[in-house]
Parts: sequence; structure tokens; C-alpha cells
Amino acid sequence: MLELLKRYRVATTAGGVFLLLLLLLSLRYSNPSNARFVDETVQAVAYPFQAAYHKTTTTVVGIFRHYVALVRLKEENEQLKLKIAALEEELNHHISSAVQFSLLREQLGFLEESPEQKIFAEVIGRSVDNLHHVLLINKGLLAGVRRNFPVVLREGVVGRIQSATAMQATVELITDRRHRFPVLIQRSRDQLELEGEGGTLRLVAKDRGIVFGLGDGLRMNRIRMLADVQQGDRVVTNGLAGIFPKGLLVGTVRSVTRERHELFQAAEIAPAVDFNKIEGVFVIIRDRRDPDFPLFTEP
Amino acid sequence: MNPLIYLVMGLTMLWLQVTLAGSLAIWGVAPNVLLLTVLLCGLRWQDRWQFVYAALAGMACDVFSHGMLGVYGLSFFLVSYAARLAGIAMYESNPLSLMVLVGGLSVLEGVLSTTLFNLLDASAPWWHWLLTAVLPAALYQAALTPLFLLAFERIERRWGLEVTSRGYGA
Repeated sequence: MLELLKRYRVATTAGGVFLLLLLLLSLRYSNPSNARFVDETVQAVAYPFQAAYHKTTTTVVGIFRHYVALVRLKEENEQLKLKIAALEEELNHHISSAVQFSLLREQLGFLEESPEQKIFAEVIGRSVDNLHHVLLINKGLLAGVRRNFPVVLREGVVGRIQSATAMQATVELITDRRHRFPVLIQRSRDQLELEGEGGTLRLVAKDRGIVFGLGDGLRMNRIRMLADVQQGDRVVTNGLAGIFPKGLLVGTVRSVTRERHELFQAAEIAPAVDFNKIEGVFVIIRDRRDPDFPLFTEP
Repeated sequence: MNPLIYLVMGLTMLWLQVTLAGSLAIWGVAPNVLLLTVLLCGLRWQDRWQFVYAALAGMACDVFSHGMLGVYGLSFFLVSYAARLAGIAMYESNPLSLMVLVGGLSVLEGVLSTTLFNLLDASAPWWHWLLTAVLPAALYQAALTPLFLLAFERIERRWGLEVTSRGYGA
């Protein structure tokens, strides 16, 4: 028997791997929660390799960026001078707003004496395929990270924790097509729903209005004609899905398109976060929440 | 063929995929160099270890893309079998025909993996993925084929490997 296995070791190994793959997929098909356990185990085993790969990535990309930075330095300098002039003008306007803001913030701080606890995590990996949009972070169960915890940046919403192991966690970006959560237009309070669509985002209004993202931005499609959506409107989370706190910025409306022959209007949204440049994120820790709190999109 | 060659090649390609492939992305579409080597191994080497290499390369993609473990593993395995069938001697040293084959087989792999994703998750946007990710990536990989062919020829010369002649004219 051993001789036979030795003689046909390549075929046996190939057949064994093939059967293992079929078993994995059938397990996922029949019982997704068990498959999640397998995924998390594999991710835990793969963590040291991913961390090592991340180190080399950082080094290689660092060298590349420094080179590019030198090449573009002059061009950037000119652009920055123009920006400074514009910003100085803007600053005068903001100073008066800031005084008012600080007064309001004091009142808000009084109302929210115990804000949600956040922890910082470094991004150590990204999806290597073109279909999924996830990040791997270096904080996991030991740091208090649990499934479905919201992940944010100062700029806005990043995503949610898809799975967590002891030392690491996977963040599903809002641009991932599996992601969907409700939002609202901050000015008009029109309620919409947002879901990822590959490298882009899609917003679905409660009356089936849909917003798509377009690579560098987002596109809202099938928004009912009566909905009040204008250029510059801020799109924020509405806090109803049980994932994100209310009021986190998702993006701003770049342009609105209304065609006479169409039943719905459409709009493009510029996302608040540049998903290609994320190096670290904040995970909002919520101790009281059930780690397996279902997404409202899940059956 | 020595499985060590596959191991070294696999680790190198995984490193390239993780570190550089993202920087090579055009309009958000990055090439999959692991898949490219799986296809070229199938087309040029006709070795049984290629199946193990394909499955493990696919599983590495699964782990590093955080999708559904086994989807890429199975689709890489199946597409390496298709590459083996398609690997006729007339294609081996002709970069243009090899590019067409790699492009076609990349699309086949994309169709397989997205179909599996769709089976496991009915909401997966099959057509959207096919048009925005699979087809552009297949074109990209086809365009990179001559470059990888040079690398393969160097490996073959360095290790004294002979491209297997079979099928056509054999």
C-alpha cells in the first residue's frame, strides 16, 4: 500500500488536494457557519506569512513612492502654492465657524460623556484579487475586536469586521459588494441604503432607488424623482443597521443627473475615504453587542 | 520535475502578487501572476505536480483575498487541467498564440471562480464581475505572457528542463 502510494504520490497528492477543495466548498454550501470557522483557522495560520509579506510590501512600496515623490516634486510644489492661496481665503471663513463650533462641541461633550471606545489597528494586508475589497488588520480577538464591529477613520466610514482571529481581523470595506448599510442625505434627511459593488459603491433608496460607485467615486442610481439630492450634499450613516453609529460621513454628492425620459434620478458621490491609501484604521469597540449580530442584509 | 522548483516559483509569485501586483493595477484591475504561472506551467511543462501547484496557488489566493476558501483553489486546479489539454506543441514557443491561450484560459478561470462564488452567494454580481474584473484581468495577463515566457525559458535553460512535446506532430 505504502509502495503504491509512493509510486503514485503526485497523483495521490493532486487527488487529495482536489477532494479537500471539494469538501471545503460543499461544507460552505451546506453549513456556512462551520466554513467560517475553517476560514478563521486558516487565516490564523497564515497570519505570520501575511505579516512578513506586509513588511516586504511596505519596504518595496516605500522605495517606489520616494522615487515617484522626487520626480513629481516640482509639479506638486506649483499645485501646493495655488492650494495655499485658496486655503488661506477659506481659513478666514472657518475661523468664525470654529468659534461657534467649539461652543456646540462643549454641549455635545456634555451629552456624550462616555463616547464609544476606539482602538487603532495597522493595515497589514489587502485582497490580492480583483473581486473582493478587504483589509487585514493587526488587531484581533485579544484586543477586543469582534465580528461586525464598525471600522472608521477620521475622514469617514471604512467598513466592518468580517472575521476576527486572536491576532488579526479582516475588514470588509464598504466598497465590497457584500456590504450594504443604510445612509441618509445629511441636509434633506432622505433615507437611502448603501451597498458595495466591487471597487465601487451602490446606494439603494428605500423605494428601491440605487446608487452605484464608479471606481474613484460613487454613483447613486434609481433615486426617486421627489428625493431632494443636490450637489455637495453629505451622505452619512443613519445608525439604523446596528453596525455604524449615526452621523458618520460616507461621502459627498458630486453631481446629480435628472433625465426627462427616466423614472429615477442619479447622482455621483465622492467617497470621504481614499481606500487605496489606508494604512491604519480605528475599530469602534462595543462590548455590549452580540458578536454575531446579523447584518440586515443577511437572510 | 522537481517540486522544489514549484515551491520557489510559488513563493516568489505570491510575493510579487502581494507586493507589486497592486501597484501594476490599471483602472483598478491588477494581474494575477500566480494564475499566469499556473497556466504557463500547464501549457509548457505537462508535469503532474502542476495540479498540486495550481491548487495550492489557488488556495493562497483564497487566503490572501479573504474570499471563500477553496473557490480559487478549485478553479485554478480545473483550469490547469484545461491548460494541460490545450498545451499543444505548436503553441509552446509562439508568443502570440500563447497570449491568446493564456487570455482564453484566464477568462475560463474567471468564469469558474465567479460561478462558484455565485453558487455559494446568490447575490454575487456575475455579469458585473465578468465585465469589470475577469475580462480586463485576462487581457492584462495575456499582455504579460511574453514577459513571463522569457522568464520560463530562462528557468528551463538554467535547470535543464525540456518542454514536453505532445499532441501536435508528436
